[in-house]
Amino acid sequence: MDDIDWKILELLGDDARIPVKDMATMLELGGKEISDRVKKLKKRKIIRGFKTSVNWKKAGKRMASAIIQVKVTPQERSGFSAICKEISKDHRVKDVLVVTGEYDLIIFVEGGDMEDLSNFVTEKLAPKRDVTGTYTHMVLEEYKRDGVECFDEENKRLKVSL
Amino acid sequence: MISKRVRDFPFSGIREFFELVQKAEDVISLGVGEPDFPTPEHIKDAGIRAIENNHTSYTSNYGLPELRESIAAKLREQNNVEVDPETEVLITSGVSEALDLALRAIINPGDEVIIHEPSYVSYRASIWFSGGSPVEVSTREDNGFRVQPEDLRDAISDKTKALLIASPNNPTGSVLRRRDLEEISDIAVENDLLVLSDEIYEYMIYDKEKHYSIGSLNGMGDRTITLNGYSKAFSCTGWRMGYAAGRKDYIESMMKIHQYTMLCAPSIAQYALLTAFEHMDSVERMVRSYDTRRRLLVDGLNSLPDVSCIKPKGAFYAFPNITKTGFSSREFAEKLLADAGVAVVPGDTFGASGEGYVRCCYAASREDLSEALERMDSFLTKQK
Repeated sequence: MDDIDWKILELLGDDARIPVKDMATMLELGGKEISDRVKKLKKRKIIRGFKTSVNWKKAGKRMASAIIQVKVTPQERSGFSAICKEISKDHRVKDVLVVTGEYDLIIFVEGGDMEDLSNFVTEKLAPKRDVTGTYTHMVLEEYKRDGVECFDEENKRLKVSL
Repeated sequence: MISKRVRDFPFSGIREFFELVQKAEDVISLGVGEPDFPTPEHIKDAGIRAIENNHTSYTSNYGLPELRESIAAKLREQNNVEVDPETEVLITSGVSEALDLALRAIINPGDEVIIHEPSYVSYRASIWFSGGSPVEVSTREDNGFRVQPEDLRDAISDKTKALLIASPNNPTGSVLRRRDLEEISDIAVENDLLVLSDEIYEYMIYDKEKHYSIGSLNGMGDRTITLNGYSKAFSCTGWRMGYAAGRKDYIESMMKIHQYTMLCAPSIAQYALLTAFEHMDSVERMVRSYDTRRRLLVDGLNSLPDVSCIKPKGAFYAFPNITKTGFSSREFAEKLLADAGVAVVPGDTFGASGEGYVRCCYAASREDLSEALERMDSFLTKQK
C-alpha cells in the first residue's frame, strides 16, 4: 500500500464505476498501472468486491430487510468463527458482524417478503444449536444505505454565480 | 433621481445570460463560483450551538476578539504576516465587504487603482463605486495569466493609489510566484503605493505551487491590506464571513465605515468559524478532490475540437481558449447552453481580455464533468 493505492481506494470508494481512464487522468498515471493496481488490491482482498447499491422500493420490488441481533454460545478456541461462517453462507444474509454488548452478532438480511424473513429466523437461524437468542428489527424505511442517501433533496446551489 | 456615479456604471450584460441558465432544464452547470461540498460538520455544529447559547447579539465592531486572535495566529503561522489582533484585524461580511471598505478607506475622488484582468467582477465595480478609477492591466495565456510586473509599472500614473492583486485568481486559476510578488513589492515601494491582496483561494493550489502573502515580504507589512475569508476553503459562501488585516490606521479607517454600515459581521457565523483553522484536514480533503477533478476537466477540455486549455495552478476554475471555434465568448456560452445544455461563463465577463475564453468550474461531480465534456464534444463536432 502506498500513497497512490490510497488515492485509488478513495476514488473507488466514492464511485466503484469510475472509468480507469478517468482515474488515470485524475492521478496522472497510465491506465495500465491503474488497472494493475486495482487487480492487485482485489487479489489481496483489500478490495472486497464491487456491488451495486439498489433502491428496491423504487424499482417496484418487494424486498423486506431486517437487522437481527443474535446471541450465540462461543466455542472453545474458534469463538464465534464457525457459526459466523455458517450464517454467512445464506444468500439472504448481507452482513455478519461480531459486536460488543448484550448480543454477540448483528446480521443484516434482505430478500423476499416479511414471511420469508420470518421463516429464515424461525426455521434457519433460531434453531441452530449455538444460537441461544435472537432479536429481530424489521426495517420500515431507508434513509441512507451503503453510504448513499435515499431521499431526494433539492440542490439549493445557484446554477451560476461569479 | 439615481446618482450619476451609479447610473454611469453599466449593468453587466451577463445578467440576461444568467437568467437563461437559471431557468433552463436539464443543464449541467460549470458556471458556479462556489464549492460543491457542504459546510464541514464541526462548523455547522458550532453555528447551531451559537444559536442555542444565544450568541445572537451584536459583537464588537471589529469582530469577536477570540476570532480576531485566531486569524492573527493563522496569519502569523501560515502566511508569515504579523498583525495585532486588537487593532489590525477586522471581521467583515465576506471578502466583498472587506474589499469595499478598503477601497472606500483609501480612495479620494479620481484616484486610480490598478487591477489585473481577467479577474473577479467586483473589483472594477467596487473601485468605481468608491469614487476611484479602475485601471486594467491585461494578463495573457502565454504567461499563465500571471500579471507581469512590468505591465503594472507601465500602468502607473501620478493618480495611482493602489494595486489590487488576486492570487490564486478567479477566473483564470493563475497563481503568482514569489518572484512576481517580490517585483510587485518593489514597484509598490518605489511608487509609494498600497497593495490590496485578495487571497480567498489561498488553499486551493496545486502542482507544488505555493501561496505567498505579499504582506509578508520585506517592507510590505505597512502597505498591504490582506483580504481573505472562509467562504471557499471552508465551503461556507452563504455564511458571509471575511476579514481584512493590515496596518492599524487602515484597519481603523475601514472599521469607521463598517461600524456605521454593517455594524458587525453576523455573530452566529463568527462563533461558528472560531475553530475553523483547527480543522485543516477537511480543507485538505476538499482540495485533494478539486485537484483530481481539475485534471479530469483540463484533460477533457484539451481533447475537444478547437479548444485548448492551460493547466490552472489554483482556485477551482479552468479557463479554456475557444477562439478557434470562431465564436465569441458570449456566443459560445449561449449556443452551448441552448444546443448542448452545458452552462459556462463567458470570459469577457471578467474583463475585455477574457474574450476568447470561457470559465468552467470543476467544483462539480465527476459524473457531471464527464457528461458536460461529452456534450461539449458532440456540440463542437456538429459545428464542423
